[in-house]
Amino acid sequence: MEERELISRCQKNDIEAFERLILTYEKKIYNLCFYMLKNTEDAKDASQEVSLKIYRAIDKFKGESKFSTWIYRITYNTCMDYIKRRKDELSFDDIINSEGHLSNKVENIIENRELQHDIKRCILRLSNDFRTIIILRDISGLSYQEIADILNIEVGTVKSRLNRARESLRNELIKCGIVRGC
Amino acid sequence: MKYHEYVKKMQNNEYDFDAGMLSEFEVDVPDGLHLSIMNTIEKERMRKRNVWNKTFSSIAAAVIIFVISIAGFKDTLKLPAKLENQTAKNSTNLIEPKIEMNNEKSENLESKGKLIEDNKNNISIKKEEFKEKQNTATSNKKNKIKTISNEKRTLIALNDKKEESNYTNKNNITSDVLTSDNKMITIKPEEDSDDQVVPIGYIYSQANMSNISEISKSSLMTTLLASSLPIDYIATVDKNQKDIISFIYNNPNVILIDTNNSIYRLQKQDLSVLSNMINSQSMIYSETGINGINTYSQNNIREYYFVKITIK
Repeated sequence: MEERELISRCQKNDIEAFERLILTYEKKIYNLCFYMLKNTEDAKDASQEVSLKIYRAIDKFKGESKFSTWIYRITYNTCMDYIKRRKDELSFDDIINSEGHLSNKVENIIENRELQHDIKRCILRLSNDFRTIIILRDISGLSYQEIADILNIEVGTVKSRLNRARESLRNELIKCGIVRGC
Repeated sequence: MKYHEYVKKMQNNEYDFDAGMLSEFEVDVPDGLHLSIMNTIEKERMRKRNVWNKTFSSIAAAVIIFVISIAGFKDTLKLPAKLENQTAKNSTNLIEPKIEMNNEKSENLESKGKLIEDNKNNISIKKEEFKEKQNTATSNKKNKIKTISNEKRTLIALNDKKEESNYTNKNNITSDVLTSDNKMITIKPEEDSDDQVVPIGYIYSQANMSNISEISKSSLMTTLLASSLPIDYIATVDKNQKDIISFIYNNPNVILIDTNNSIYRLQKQDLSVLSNMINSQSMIYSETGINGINTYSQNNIREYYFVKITIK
């Protein structure tokens, strides 16, 4: 069944169609939440909240943008609210613990787990803006235009910010000894 | 593995990456997340449904209340006009017997005057003065009747002329109603009908309410009015006739006198409720929406029940 048809059915309060639709985007939502919030529990809560927001607002979706962009935008805004609400930023240990917990799950699948672990850790050390743009572009694989729509910025700003984010990530990778500085 | 390539490019300061080179870094969704999401959605769905139900029922209730209030408003619009007509009608009815009464009074006094002269008791009544007084009184009475509807008063109906014809007027004229500030209009039945023919009714001023010992209306009224329950109506009910003989609508601007017409707001079935209430001596008769406190009083001729009625 096409996505448009599913959306249309959801707008008619078809819970089954909504379940199918949310299954498609669940992973993307959770990943953005996880990398933005750097915490599995918060990521779960935020994912639930995002799903609820989608359910409540799906009537208002008129198809003017891509549905995925619309969902990412809701997710991004929700995560930003979480970050604003959270008084104390998580300590580095929390990040490591959270990451370690995850890497244990993933290590059986990925061969070079240490490298992956280190890269993830370096990504999580980036500032919010840089981290978000790295996730959207390099992990989720969105186009510049989509990222611009989600973050509500110009495409040129997306490119320049992405460049600076990568430079920042490179510096982190140098600090970890993954990349040699020149 | 693309992320190796990503690191290499980083090593070489090349930032021209394809989108999604780190897609392998996507983390898996934890177990149970989908289930909890769907539970949340289901709860939201139920909440929406409840909200809709509540909204619908409250809208329906509001519509019903609106319809009822419109109907009630129409009734209240009709009521004052009807009451005005009725009050005017009653007023004229009241005037006539009072004029007659005064004529009779004058005749009696004249005869008394003659007797006094004959017996040389040095008591004389000047007819002319009396007539003047009577005229003044008549005009005052008309004024009083006009203003009577603007004050909160207790009225006890004057009816049953047959009984009144047997009354005497001896010692009955305690105050001239036409010049005093009357708060209650009533009939005082007299038992000792000795000699003279009695007028159809007497009007007592509030100052002389203590004379009406059989009924003690003023104290009753005080009790009723001082009670915490709001009063919609006060009715005086004749048990034997199962009829309301007077009826007071607790509105300072409206006074209802007439037995038949003053029960405009009371339905016929309410009369039977009153009757049941009296017969059972029940203080509260709530089954039919009427709350009331009845007080019993009696004279030789009638049993009076003063019923404070609150329509729910």
